Amino acid sequence: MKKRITKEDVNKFIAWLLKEYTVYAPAGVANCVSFREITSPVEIVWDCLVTRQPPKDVFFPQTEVLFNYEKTADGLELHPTEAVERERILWGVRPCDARAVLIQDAVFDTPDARDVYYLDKREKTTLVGIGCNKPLSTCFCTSVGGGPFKKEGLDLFLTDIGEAYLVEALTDKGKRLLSAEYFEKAAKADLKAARAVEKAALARLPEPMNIETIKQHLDEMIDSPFWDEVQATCLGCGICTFLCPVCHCFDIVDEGTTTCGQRVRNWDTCQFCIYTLEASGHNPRPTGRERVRQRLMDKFDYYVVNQGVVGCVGCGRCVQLCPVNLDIRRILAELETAK
Amino acid sequence: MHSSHIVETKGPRMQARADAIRQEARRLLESGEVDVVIGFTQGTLPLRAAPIFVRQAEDVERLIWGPFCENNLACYLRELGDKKVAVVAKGCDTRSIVALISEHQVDRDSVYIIGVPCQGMVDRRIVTRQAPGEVLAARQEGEDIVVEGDGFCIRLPRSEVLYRSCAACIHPNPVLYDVLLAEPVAVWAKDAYAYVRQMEEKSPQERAAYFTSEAQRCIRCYACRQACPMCYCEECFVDHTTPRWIESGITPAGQQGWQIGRAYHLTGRCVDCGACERACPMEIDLVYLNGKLNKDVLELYGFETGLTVGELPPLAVFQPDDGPDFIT
Repeated sequence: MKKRITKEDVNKFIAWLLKEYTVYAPAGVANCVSFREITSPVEIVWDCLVTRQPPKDVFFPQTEVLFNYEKTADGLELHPTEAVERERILWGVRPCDARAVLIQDAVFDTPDARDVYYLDKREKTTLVGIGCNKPLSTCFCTSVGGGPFKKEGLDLFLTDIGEAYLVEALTDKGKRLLSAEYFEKAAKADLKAARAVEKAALARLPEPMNIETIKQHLDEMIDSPFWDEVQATCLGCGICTFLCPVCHCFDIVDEGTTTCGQRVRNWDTCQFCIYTLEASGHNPRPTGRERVRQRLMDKFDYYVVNQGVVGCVGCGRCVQLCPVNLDIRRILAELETAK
Repeated sequence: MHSSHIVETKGPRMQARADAIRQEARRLLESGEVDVVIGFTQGTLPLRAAPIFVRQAEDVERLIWGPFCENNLACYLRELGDKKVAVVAKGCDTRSIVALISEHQVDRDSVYIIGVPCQGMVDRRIVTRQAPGEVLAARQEGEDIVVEGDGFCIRLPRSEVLYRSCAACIHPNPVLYDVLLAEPVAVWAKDAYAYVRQMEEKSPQERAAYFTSEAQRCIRCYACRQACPMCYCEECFVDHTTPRWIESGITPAGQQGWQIGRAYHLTGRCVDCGACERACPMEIDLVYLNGKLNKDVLELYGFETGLTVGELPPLAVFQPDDGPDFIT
C-alpha cells in the first residue's frame, strides 16, 4: 500500500502521533544529532543521514536498571523495572539501522531466551524508515547486504520525492499509521520519482565488496601478522563498537550497597582490555592485536557462520568517528594482500 | 643520537616538511638507527590524516605532513618494548614526550624525536559545519583551507578553523628534538588561557549547568583517555571494582565522576594538546577542564609541564619546605 504526504503535512502527522505515542527521532543536542524523544516535530533534524549514535538505545539503553533490591526485616525484596507504558514510534530510521535492529532481535529473542527488557520496548515500537537519497561517502550498505532503500525491519517507509514523501506500509503497524487523514493517494508520477531517486542513490555508492572472499581470507588469518599492523595505531577506545548499530555486548553490575541498590546493565565492548579479563588475572585477549582481530572476525566471519548475516550494516559511523582514522573499509580491502 | 640539528627546507612549507620527514625517516630506517618511524599518512577521509608505523625504508613515501595531522603521537611511545623508535612530533607532542620521560614512562635513549614546528591543526568539525554539504575533499592552498563537495568549493583561512587548543597554543615549536625539520614558527597565541578565563567569569551556577550539559553526552567510550599520552595507568580508576570509585553507567554521577576524575588526574600533567577533545565522538568540551587545572598549577607553583626533562608536576612531588597554604 503506497500513499503520499506533503512535507507540510508530515509535521502535522507527527504532531498527531505525539498525542498517542512517545516519538523518537533524529534531533540535535549541541552539535550531535541522535535519536531522542521529541515533544514537537520542529525538533526533528531532517537532513541528517547518519545520526551520531544509532537508534539501538531506544530498545537497549546504554545503562538500564533491571531491578531494584532492598534488604528488609522480612528478607530481600526485589522490585522489577516497570514495563514501558506508551506505544512508541521510532521516526526517521535509515535502512542500515533498521537492518541492525533485526540483527539485534536475533540476539535478544532466541528460542532459549527472551530478553524481556529489550522485547518490551521492541514490541511496543513502530519503525518509520526513510530512504537515503544521497548516501554519504562513508556509506557502504550495499557491500553488506543492505541498500539505501531496503525496507527490511521497517513498518512504514518514506521516500523523499521533493515536495512530498511517497509512503509505503509494510506491516499491520505501518498500515495503522497510514490510515491517518494526512495521507493521500500516490500518483503515478510519485512512484516514478521514487524510482528515480532510488536509482540515483545507488549510483553514489561504491562497488560492493565481496563478503564471501573476505570471510575466506579471515578464516585463514587468525595468526596473521597483519593484525599487529592494524592494531598498531588503534587507541583501544570504545567508539567503533558503542556507536555501531549492531554491537550489543553488555555487562551486568550491582550499583548500591549490601542493603539496597540496583542491578544495572551497561553496554560493554570487546575493544576494552578488561572485557575479557578473568578473575584469575588471565586475559585471553591480552593485547590490541586480539581485540581488533575480534571485531573484524566477529562481524565478517563468526556472524556469517552463526547467524547467516554480516555483523555490519555499512552505516560508516566507525569510519567517520575513529580518532585515528582506522577505516574498516581499508582493513577489509587490505586482507587480500595481507593474508 | 642526541646531536640536535636543524634541517634546511625550501619550497612551500607543507610539502617541504613532508619531504624532510620522508628523507629523515629513510635515513633512520636505512641506517638501522631506528626500527620504526611513527608519523602521519594520508587519511581515508577528507580533513583527516592517520597515524602510521613505518618499518621499511621503501614505505617512507607514505608519510605526509599537513593541516590535518591532529593526533598526539606520543601516546604510542610507551608500548614499543625494546624497539628504537622515531616519532614525528609537534610542539605539544614533544611536551608529552618530555613529561613521559620525566615520569619514567619513556626512555630518552630509545626515542628519536623528529621535531616539526607546527602551525596549528585544523578542526575538522568546524570545517564540516561551515560546509554547505558533505565535504568530499580538502587541502591547504597558501594560508587557506580549500573545501570541496557536491556543487561547492569554499576557502577558509586556516587560522580561523584551528582547534581551540591550537588557536591558544603558546608552544607550537618542539621543546625537545633530535632533529628539527624547519625553522621555528612565531607564536601566534597571546593568552593560552583566554577560554579558561571566560569560564572563570561565569557564575558557579552557570559553570555547573554547562559542565552538566556537556557531561550528559558522555558515552564512556574512554576515547579521551586512550588518546591522551599522559593517561597511562595500568588500571584506570573507572575500571577498578574493589572498591568501585564511581557509578558504572551513563548516569549523571557516572558521567560527571568520570570527567572530573580524568581531569584531576591530569592536574599539572596535561600539555593542552587537545587530543582528548578531538577523540571525543560526542564533541564534549573537555579542554577547559584541564586548562583550568593547568592554569592553577601555573599560578600556584609557576610550573608548566613538558618543558624540562626531569621536572615533575607539583602534585607528584613532596618538598619538605612546601607551605601549608594548599590546605586552605
